[in-house]
Amino acid sequence: MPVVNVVKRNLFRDSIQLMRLSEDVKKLDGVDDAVVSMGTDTNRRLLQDLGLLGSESRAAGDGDLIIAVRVRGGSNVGEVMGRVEQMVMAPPVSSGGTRVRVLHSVKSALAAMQGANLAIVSLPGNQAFEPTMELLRNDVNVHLFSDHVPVEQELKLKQYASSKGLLVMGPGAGTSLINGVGLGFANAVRKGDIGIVASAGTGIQEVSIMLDRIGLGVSAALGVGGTDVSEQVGGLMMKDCLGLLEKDRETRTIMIVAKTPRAKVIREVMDHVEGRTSKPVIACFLGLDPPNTTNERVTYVKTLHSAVHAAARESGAEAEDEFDAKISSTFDQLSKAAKDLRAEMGTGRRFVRGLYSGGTLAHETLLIFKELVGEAYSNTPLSERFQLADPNVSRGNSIVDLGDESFTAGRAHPMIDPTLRKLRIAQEAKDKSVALILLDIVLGYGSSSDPGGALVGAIEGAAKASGKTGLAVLAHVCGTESDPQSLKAQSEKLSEADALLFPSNALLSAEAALVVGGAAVSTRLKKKWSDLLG
Amino acid sequence: MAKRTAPRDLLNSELMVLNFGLDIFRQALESQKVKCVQVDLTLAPELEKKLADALDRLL
Repeated sequence: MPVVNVVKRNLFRDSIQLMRLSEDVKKLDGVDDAVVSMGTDTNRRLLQDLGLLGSESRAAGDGDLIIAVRVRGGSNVGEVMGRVEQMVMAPPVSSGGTRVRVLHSVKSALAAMQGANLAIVSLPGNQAFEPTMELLRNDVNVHLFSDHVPVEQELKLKQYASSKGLLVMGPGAGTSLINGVGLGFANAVRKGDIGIVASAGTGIQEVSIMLDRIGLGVSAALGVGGTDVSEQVGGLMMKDCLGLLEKDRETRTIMIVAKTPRAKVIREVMDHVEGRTSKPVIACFLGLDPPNTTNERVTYVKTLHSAVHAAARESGAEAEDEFDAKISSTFDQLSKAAKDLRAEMGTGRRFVRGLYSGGTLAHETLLIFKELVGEAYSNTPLSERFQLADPNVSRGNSIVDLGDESFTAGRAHPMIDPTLRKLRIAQEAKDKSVALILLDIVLGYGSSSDPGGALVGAIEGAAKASGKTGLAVLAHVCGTESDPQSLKAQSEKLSEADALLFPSNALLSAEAALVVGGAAVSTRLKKKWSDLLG
Repeated sequence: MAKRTAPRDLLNSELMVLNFGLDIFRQALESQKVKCVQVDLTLAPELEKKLADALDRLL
């Protein structure tokens, strides 16, 4: 079957549009396989692996668009490629099938929607500053999804917004929930009285879905972006958001989630909080020892799992019972499951390979491994010594964040496009020292329509490739029944593929540590149970 | 021009959203029945410029 490549020089389409286009093109009559992508190194390597790289595309650059199609024998190649090009150039269509009106300037957008109170900005980071500033000048709050906005620009935007009482959530803010509406990658969770401020996008998703499962809800969840808690920005927006939640009548309890924050910034944030708030505060600073406090309203926790448990305790007996029934586990249960898994595995299988789409979840697993087993290798390690030399090749215990920019240049995020994770599962399954593959399956708005189903073939393939005494797959579905993908439907698909499911990422991580760590880990987990899973 | 939402009221207001960039976020808002306008700053057709100029004159 002929492989045809067409390169469109200097034509940009965002990675999500391209992934969807690829799926649509594959469905065309006469098409056996297809990928439409930007010409980055990662994408050209992927085309090579799939047997779709033509000579025309070898010299394509990051700004060029590649259309690669394997045309079925007997089909009219020119006709097929003509239809494909038409699809690539077509404007977006709404779910109702009508053409979406697309505007091309801040001014025309403001004129088209008078009273607009929020903008989502997901432009390339080097193009985000001017439009964001113009929006702020016009009193529009901004959820700034874009990465790579220079920190000096972030500071200017946040200082200006703060002076006007506006919010700039981001840059790099993956998730927010406002008045029940999910922005970015967010889950469909019930409304309630817990307000969240976070510099960790999947952190918001993980705590909000667990709160939903135990009958609690979110008044608002405000993502401020990872660099907000850097020394340059000083937690400026985190403090403003906390002030907003303090005044918010719907918010009864405040939860703060931060990934790798600077200790000095957190001290300032907590001084700010402790001096002003009359509401209970639950603070989870992943990777940072909690500051000393005598304030009885503040509870410090080490994991996202423990943050939700603390919220359940704060809420009352009913929520605590629900937590025990739907999230919690006991040491004996984990221990027995680990023993059962070990019994089915060959003795040479001793390492864990975490293949994550959520950066905060990967980080939480790295922290739990450090506490129980010892530090794991990663492309986003806790310390430099454990940096993977090549993010595409694991060693020892490895926890890989596939959503990191080393994997996503010119590609859709793994929450949307499962391709890289499927290939990586197959790659890990060939390694006879691998005992467990860990997966997070993140549901919600913005995510793939079937993230679990998309991995089923790869999971079954891994089990088959590794044989009777082979590896096992542990998975955590970060989602709710109200999510478009349905927690139940996704869980069933994964269970049918023999993946062992856990209600929280922390429990999954502790289980993995028990399986590969032996008696010493068992003793450590007993000792640290209330810190990590209490 | 209509009065904009006071920022402190944002958390409990009906959201009216301008989406600059990824269309997937417009689709997510549409599925949540949120009013949204899609904006693509990577293209600036001549017609848009004419409209913007006309708006400048009007506003």
